[in-house]
This record gives sequence, C-alpha cells and structure tokens, in this order.
Amino acid sequence: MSLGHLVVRLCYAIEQSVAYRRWKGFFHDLLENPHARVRPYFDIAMALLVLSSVLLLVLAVRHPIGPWAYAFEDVALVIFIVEYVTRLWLYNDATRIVIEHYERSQFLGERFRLWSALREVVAKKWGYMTSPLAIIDLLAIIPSYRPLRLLRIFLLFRLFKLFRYARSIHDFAKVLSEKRAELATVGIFLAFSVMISATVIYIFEADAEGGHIKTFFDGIYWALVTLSTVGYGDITPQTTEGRFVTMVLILTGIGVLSFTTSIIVSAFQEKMPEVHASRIYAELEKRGRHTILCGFGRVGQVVAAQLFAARERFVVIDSDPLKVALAKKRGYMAIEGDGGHTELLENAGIRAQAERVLCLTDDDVANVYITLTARHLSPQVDIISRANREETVKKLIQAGADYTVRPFTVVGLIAAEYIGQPVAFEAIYGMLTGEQEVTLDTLAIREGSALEGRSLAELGLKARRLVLFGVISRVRREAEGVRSTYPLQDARLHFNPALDFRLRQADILVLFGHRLSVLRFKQSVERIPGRGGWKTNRKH
Amino acid sequence: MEDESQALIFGCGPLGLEVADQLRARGIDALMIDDDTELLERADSRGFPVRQLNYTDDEELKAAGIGRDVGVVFSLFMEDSRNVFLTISARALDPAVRIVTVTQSGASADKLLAAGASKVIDPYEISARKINELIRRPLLQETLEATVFGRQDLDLAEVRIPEGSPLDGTHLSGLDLAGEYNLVLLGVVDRDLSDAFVFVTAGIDHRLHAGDVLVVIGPEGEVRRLKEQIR
Repeated sequence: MSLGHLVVRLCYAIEQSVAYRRWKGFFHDLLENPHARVRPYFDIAMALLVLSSVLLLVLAVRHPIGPWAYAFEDVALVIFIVEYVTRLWLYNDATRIVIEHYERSQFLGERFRLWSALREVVAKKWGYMTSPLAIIDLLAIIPSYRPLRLLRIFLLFRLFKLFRYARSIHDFAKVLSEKRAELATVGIFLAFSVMISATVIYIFEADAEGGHIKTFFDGIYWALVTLSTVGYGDITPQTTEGRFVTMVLILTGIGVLSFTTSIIVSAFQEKMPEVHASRIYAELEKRGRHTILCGFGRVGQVVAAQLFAARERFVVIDSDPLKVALAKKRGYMAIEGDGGHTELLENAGIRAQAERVLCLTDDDVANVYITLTARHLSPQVDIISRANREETVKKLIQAGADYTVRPFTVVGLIAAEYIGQPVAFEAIYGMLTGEQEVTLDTLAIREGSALEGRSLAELGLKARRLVLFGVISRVRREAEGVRSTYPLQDARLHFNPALDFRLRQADILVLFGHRLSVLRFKQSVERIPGRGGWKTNRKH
Repeated sequence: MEDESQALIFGCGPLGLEVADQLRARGIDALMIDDDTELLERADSRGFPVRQLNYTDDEELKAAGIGRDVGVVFSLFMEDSRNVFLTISARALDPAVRIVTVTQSGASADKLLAAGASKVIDPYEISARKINELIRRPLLQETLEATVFGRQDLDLAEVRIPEGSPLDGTHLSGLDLAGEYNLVLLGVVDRDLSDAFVFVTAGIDHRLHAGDVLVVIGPEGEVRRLKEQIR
C-alpha cells in the first residue's frame, strides 16, 4: 500500500469521524460563524485578553513587572498561537481536497498524485496566511519574543487584532473611504483656511507686543486649534487684526466641522445597504464554494432552510426588500437586487467560487432571464431552475439550466399516485426526500476498484441488506443479461440486471438500503484492494 | 383504479390541470369543477369534463355526488382559505370520502388536516426538497425522474396477495422477484401490523399473508404477470 493510499484512507476516516466534525463545527462557531451564539462572548473575551496583554507590555516599558505578569503574558501568547493555528486549520478542509483529488483521478482513470493534492492544500493555506488579518495575527504574537526589543513596535498589531473582534471599526473605515472625494474637498478647503489664516496671523502677530506667535509653525498650530473649535487658549491673538482673523476663522471652523459631519452621516445613510452587500461579497470571496439562491419565495425559503441546516454556504438574492429583510432576520446572507443583473451575479462570485445557481422565483420569465445571464457568465456553474409552467421547461434548458423543477407537476404526480397506491408512494417518496433511514444511493465503480470485473452475484448484496435498483452505464450493455434499459441524459440505466452481469469501470450502481448498510458497503469497497488495483495504477 | 367511484377536481388552475393530466394518464377521468368560467373554458379546451359549481353551497356539492358515489375530492384552489372551506364542507357531507388538498404555507397544512383532509400536499416544500436532492445527488434524481416518476415504462406498483395465493404463508426470503420477474421488491405493507410498511432491507424475514401488499418497481408487463401468477 502506497503512502498516497494511506493518506486517502486517513482522509476518508477523518471525513467520516463524527467527533472531528463536531470539533470543527465548534471551532467554526467560535472563530468564524458570525451568527453563532457563543461568538460574541468569545470576541469580548479575546478583546479583553488583547487589551490586558497590551496594558502589561506597556507597563513593562518603564516598570519592572512580577513573575505573574510574565506567566499571564505566556498564557496570552499560547492562546494567540492556538487561535492562529486553529484559524489556519478552519480555513478549508485539507482532507476534502485530498479526497476530491483522489476521486477525480479515479473518475478520470488517472494516477492519483498525492503531491499535487498536498500542493493545493499548502497553496490554499498559504493564501490564508498571506491575508492581512492573518499577518496581523502573526505579528501580534511577535512582541512577546523578549530578546528582540525592537519588535516592541509590533505591539501595535496586537491592537489591530481588535479589528477581528469588532467589525464596526472595519465598516467605519470603509464608509469613510467611499466618501473620499467629498472628504478631500473639505481637506483642501481646510488646508487653504489654515495656510491663509496662519500666514495672516503670523504677519500681524509675530512682531506684536506680548504676542505668542513667534514662528510660522506657531501660526499653523494656532489656526488648527482655532478652526477645530478646540481653542486651547495657550496662544491668543493680541492685536485687533489678529482678533479679526480669529473671528473669521472660528466661523469657518464651524462651517468645516458641520460640513464634515454631514458628509460622514450621509455616507453612512447612503452606504449602509452597500456596505452590507460588500461585506457579504467579501465574506463569499473569503471562503470556499457557495450557492447563489435567486428568489426568496416559498420554495426559496424552504431550500434556504435546508441549506442552512446542512451548513452549506449560500447567498440569497431577491428584489423585494421585505424578503431580503426576512432572509437577514433568519441569519442568511442576503442581497437586495435583481438576479438577472450581470454585475450582481459577478459580485456574488458566479465566475469564481459559486458552485451553483438556483433560480426559484415564482416568475418564469425572471427564471429564464436569470438562467441565461448565469449561464452566459459561467459555463460550468450548475443551474437549477424552477418552472411554473410545463412550457417553460424547454426554454429553461435552452437558456442553459442543468435541471428544472416543476412544483405543479410534482404535485400532480403525488396526487395521482396517492389515490392509486398511497403506501408505496409514501414509502418511496420518504426514501427520496431523506425522511427515512432507508435511502437510495449511488456507488461509482472507479478504475482499479475492488468491484471491477465482478459479477453482481459476487457482491453479496443480499447479505448486506442492500437491494440493487439498477446499473447506470455510459456504454450499451443490453446483451449482458439486461432485461430493460432506460435512457438518461448521457448514459443508460440498466434496470435490475441479472446476477451474472459483470461490473465495469465507470458503471454506477444504484442501491437502496438502510443508510448505514450503504455507508458500510461503500467503506468496504474502498478498503479492499482490487484486482491489481493500486499496484497496477502505480506502474503507469 | 378498480373502484367505480368518481374523482372530483376543484380548482382548474395550472395545478388542477396537472393533476387531471396525471389522472388521465392512469385511466381516470376526473370531473373538473370551478366557479371561474375562464378557467373552466381552458380545462374544457384540453378535453377534460368540466362543470361550473359554487363550492360554498352544500346542495350543489351534494348534486355533484359528494356523499354518494364520489370517492376522491381534490381541492386544488390557490388560496388556503378556499381549500379549508371545501375540505370542511366535503368532510361534513361524507366522512368516508378521501380529500387531497394543497397548501400554500406550512402553517395551513395543520389547519387543512384539522379540517378533515386525508392528504395535504405542500408544493413548495416538495419542490424545495427536490432541489435539495438535486444539489446533493443529481444523478439519482435524474435516474428517478427519467424512470419511475417519468413517463417511461417503469412503474411503482402495489401488488396485493389474494386469498389462497401460493404466496400466502411463504417467507419474504423465499421470494426472488428480481430473478423470476424483473421486478425490484421494495417492501411489504403488513396488514397485521396496521398497514405498516416494512422495507425489504430491514432484515426481517417477514411471513407473507393474504392481504399483505408487495411494493415493487418494474415494467408494467412484469407487474401484470406477477399479479396473474400469484392468484
């Protein structure tokens, strides 16, 4: 068994470990999930820790501190390091990357390269390590390294760390930066006023009897103190001309101040929804794959609830402010806007991290338009669209939808089946929707799989309490004891093949059975090395 | 359906038409009822039997056959309030009639059940679940969409074991439907256990009795063959 296989098995084991998931979920809540209940407590505790450790380091500049202080500093340091490492760990799932690489290579029939998988893991982690917040975290750890006293200045970074625990500071900076032009105008006006009044006061006061202004710099200092309405009073004009300038400057100061205030206030009022949206975009960019959900009607709401429960990342887009407010209230990321808007979809990451787009509005026209826009922007994104009318299905497929869902057709089917065969239908329906422990699942035969080349009789499905529904195959296999086949999009379903049907690479078994039986079967298939399986693979 | 009872569809919106379509595919001609002439005309143009009726009037409901030979009532109005009203009226007229209705919101489902509906379908909930499944297991959904739920010849069927059938008294493990019939057995509805559905994968070697119902998937012809041979 190669090292690669060992790592893959380890990754599978970790992926399946309940304890691992629970811990990861816990730390995710603690450090990253902004909606977790524990998060505010954690933020406050961390902020207090940062402040007290900074306080201690500041005290240590001039005063000798006791051993307990060093101990405290060490504790704080350990916590910072643990936090840093945990964030690095949480950033993405290394195991999943390895598994994806493995499954992709198996699917494509290529040799699995452990190093390329590990390289991607390291690259992703490095991407996190070079993000500004991660750098701040790292720099915040450094001041504790006492031999390098010069690094004391990095103490500042420990204070910057507070940004992490208080997002509002972040937003404030952002709002101000959006009003750059106006603030620059005020700034220029301010500079002019200061320069002119400083010049004037210097000319009048420099030679005056008992005057305080001896240098031009005194003039600038005085102008600024006066203009800002602070007015320390350490420098006061002595001449009539000087007092006249002061009066004008005071009035100007009031104007400048109120103008600045109004700019900032209006900036907040205007930009709050945008800040919110851009915060969401940033959030979407930051971590992994996500789903774009357009339309927060009844269907959208239920889908969102299910995605939320499954801890999937998604963003809701709806043009109705009330629905957006509802989504926000439920703790989802939501943006007000039209899903057919190119820019909006781009911002939501359709070209980058978005995995799929769901068009779930109750308006077929809108769904077709969103589908078309999304497909145009990204050829590979999965698009699932809702068709309220049968005729729309074709249009949606033409517009680029991968799948369509027709609420009314489903209901028609259920209603009709219900009066004919209620129990059977309820059973299979429950099975399909995951309401039951018994599920239908698929298992792909990869190259070198233990199952390749075996007949169905050899699988021992009955002993495993599994029932074979059929085998999906990309090639025609009608001759091999298959009694009925059904065409799918780009494959065929061979229903209930005979026991001597031999499995080939790329076949997909459709099984039904208890969740655990299916899982165990999958696990055991992964564990048994196939006929030559791994070893032949490595020869290539 | 074997029984002679009449099926009524109240509400000729897109949902009503869809149900009527599906029923027609199964050989049931349901009478479509609405008080909106425009909707009725559309249903009529698609060849469904239609009737204009004021559903709020009990006498008219009785005239339509509720309480006599109507076996199933589909209440498919787009408003929850109308569905609730019709459900209550129909239930009062006939305690035995089966009432299938739809709900626009999860909260109304309970009201409809309280009003006496036998089955409440939530189109949005179901669609959402389907979408969720499409996200999680697209291939599987496609398979079922194309076969069992599609218009292809692969049906879900209930096969009742008749009195005096050779299967009466045999065990589930002795049954080889996959080999002998090209049918996949999903489970059994046990009449003794108050119609509980026992999945074949539960590992219980169930003893079959007359009255039990086998739930199978397979081509229609095979289902018919099974029904004939176990008689």
